[in-house]
Amino acid sequence: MSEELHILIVDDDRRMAKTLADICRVKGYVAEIAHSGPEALEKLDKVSFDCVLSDIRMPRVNGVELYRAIKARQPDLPVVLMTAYSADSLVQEGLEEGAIAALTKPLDIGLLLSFFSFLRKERSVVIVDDDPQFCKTLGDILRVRGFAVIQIADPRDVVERLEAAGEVVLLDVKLDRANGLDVLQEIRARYPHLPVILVTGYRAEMAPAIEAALETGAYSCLYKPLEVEKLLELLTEIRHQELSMALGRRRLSRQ
Amino acid sequence: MLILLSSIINIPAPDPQDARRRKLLNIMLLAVATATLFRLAVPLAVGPRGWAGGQEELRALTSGIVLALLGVASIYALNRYVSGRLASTLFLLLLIALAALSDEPRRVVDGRGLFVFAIPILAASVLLQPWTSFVAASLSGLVVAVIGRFLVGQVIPNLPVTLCFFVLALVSYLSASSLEHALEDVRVLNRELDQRVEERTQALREAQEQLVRKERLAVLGQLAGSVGHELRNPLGVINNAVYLLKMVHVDADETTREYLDMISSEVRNATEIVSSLLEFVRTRPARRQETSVPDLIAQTLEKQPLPEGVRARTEIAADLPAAYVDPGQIGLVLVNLVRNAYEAMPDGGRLAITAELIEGAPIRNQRSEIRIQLSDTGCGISPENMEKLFEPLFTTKARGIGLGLPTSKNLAQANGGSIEVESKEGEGSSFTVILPAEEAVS
Repeated sequence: MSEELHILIVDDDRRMAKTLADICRVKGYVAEIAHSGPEALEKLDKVSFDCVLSDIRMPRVNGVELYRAIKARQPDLPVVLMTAYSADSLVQEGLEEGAIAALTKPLDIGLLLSFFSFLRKERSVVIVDDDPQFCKTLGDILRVRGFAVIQIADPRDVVERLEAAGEVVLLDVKLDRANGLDVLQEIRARYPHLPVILVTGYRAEMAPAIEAALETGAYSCLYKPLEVEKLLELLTEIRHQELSMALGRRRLSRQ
Repeated sequence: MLILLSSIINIPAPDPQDARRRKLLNIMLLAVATATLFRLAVPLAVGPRGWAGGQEELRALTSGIVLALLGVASIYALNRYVSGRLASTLFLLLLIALAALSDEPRRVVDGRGLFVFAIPILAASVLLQPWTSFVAASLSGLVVAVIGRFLVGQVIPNLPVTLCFFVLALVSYLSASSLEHALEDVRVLNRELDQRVEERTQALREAQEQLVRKERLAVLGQLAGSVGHELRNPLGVINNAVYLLKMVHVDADETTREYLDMISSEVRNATEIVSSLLEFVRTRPARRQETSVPDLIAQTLEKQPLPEGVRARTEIAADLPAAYVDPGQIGLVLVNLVRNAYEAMPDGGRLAITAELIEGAPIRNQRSEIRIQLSDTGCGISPENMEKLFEPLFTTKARGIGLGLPTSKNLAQANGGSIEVESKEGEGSSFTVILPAEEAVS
């Protein structure tokens, strides 16, 4: 992620697009304007953006269709829809397909700006595993993808070292020194909304314990050897949920 | 010709009985007038010389006929312009008088002339009341007796004739009264029919008016909806522009800042009006699901900042099941009601929110319901405002377009529930929201 936040604003209402872009620029973000879906896709091909803010009702290509096109190219790019028509069936469609939020015009600029600053915060992943090799390789991959990585070998330190939100915990559940599930309980007690992804190399042996863990609130479970793509998908999903909440949507339960 | 005749004969009167009497009397007058004219026509056609009675009698006859015609005309006038009853009475008296004078006294008392008395006796029962035949019979009997006693010199009155008069009167009475009853029955039936037609017409008219009103509201609703939506775009631009100006001119002078604040607060107001309009117009079907009532109430109270001096208390039954409603829509209903309660207590007060389960009786097909009651100690609602409370666009607030309660009612109904209200002016109001409990799903 670059230093400056790049935001693409898509609205056929030129004044709406201009005022929003100006506000973003005053706040120090880089804002680009597109007045139609095709124009937006063109810009997306040239520059890498951190967020797209798009109107829904636009001639020819509407905002939800644009969102689908963006999702096909860059699934991890957060798209926020905005609309004057809150009862529009398109709004529901867009949200169901994974848009971060659908904001009603006039926009709550304060909320939008706090969302942008949340977007700028570095994303960090806490890896709790006593296998130094695993920690290092996974850490390297995640760093390349733009995450800050914290590695904790001793699970007894976990609860103390976890900071506020914006983090994801990867917890190994076959630890020799402490039962991973106990650590999970402790984390949940202290940070009830912190997403915890379990990682285990013992699929069959741990099955009942994993089942119980998922029930008590683990976000998901991955198996070693770790499929990095799957992990990244999960991280994007968690990210989008957090972004949704930053825009005032309710916490979504994992399907 | 017929029209002329009918306009002469018919006299409009509010009472159908009276109208009938007047018409009948006119027909009889017409008959008498015609008969009288014929009586005159015969000697006139034959000529004075051919007339057995001679010149003098002809003159008497003519003057008698003229008098009779005058009498007929004046009774007609009386009938037309004054009173049918009076005219009929006079006419009957005149008929009796005519009968008495129709022939020589001897013949009147004891001969063909007696039959003439049948006319007033029969006419009385149809013109006046059925029983008046007896009066006419007595009168005729009296006249016959008087003539017999003083002009003819009879010592004993002709009683059989009087008896005949009474028999005639009886027959006339019976037939007239049965006719009258039949007429009365017809009239009652008619009145009932009229009333029924009137009622049906009224109902139809009301249904039609309601339909027109609904249609007009629907059109207005669509219009308001699209205007509201369209307003959100310019409002959005104004909102952004003001935000930017505020951001850029942090060190602006006080007046500028004040004015910018004014613009943004008015944009907020306008947005709220548009939103309440759209909430009213919106026809999104309810997405009903199991919804926790305590959570709904807690979220509602969170959304509405507690005004100074107001205390809110909630009391929720422990065994309360989930409600089967659209959480967004019912949340809006509760927000509206809480906001109203707060606004009803500008000088502070208490808001009590209770929620309890009303168990249904499955045997009687009664579902279980959840009753949420919001009671405030505010200004209350006057009885005349109570009627209009749920009408769209009715408001007592200085700011507000009067859509909160109608919207709430619509939403409650769309979720299988209802809203009721009780209020005492000056003491407070209590709104009750009834929602279906989760068991209703099956």
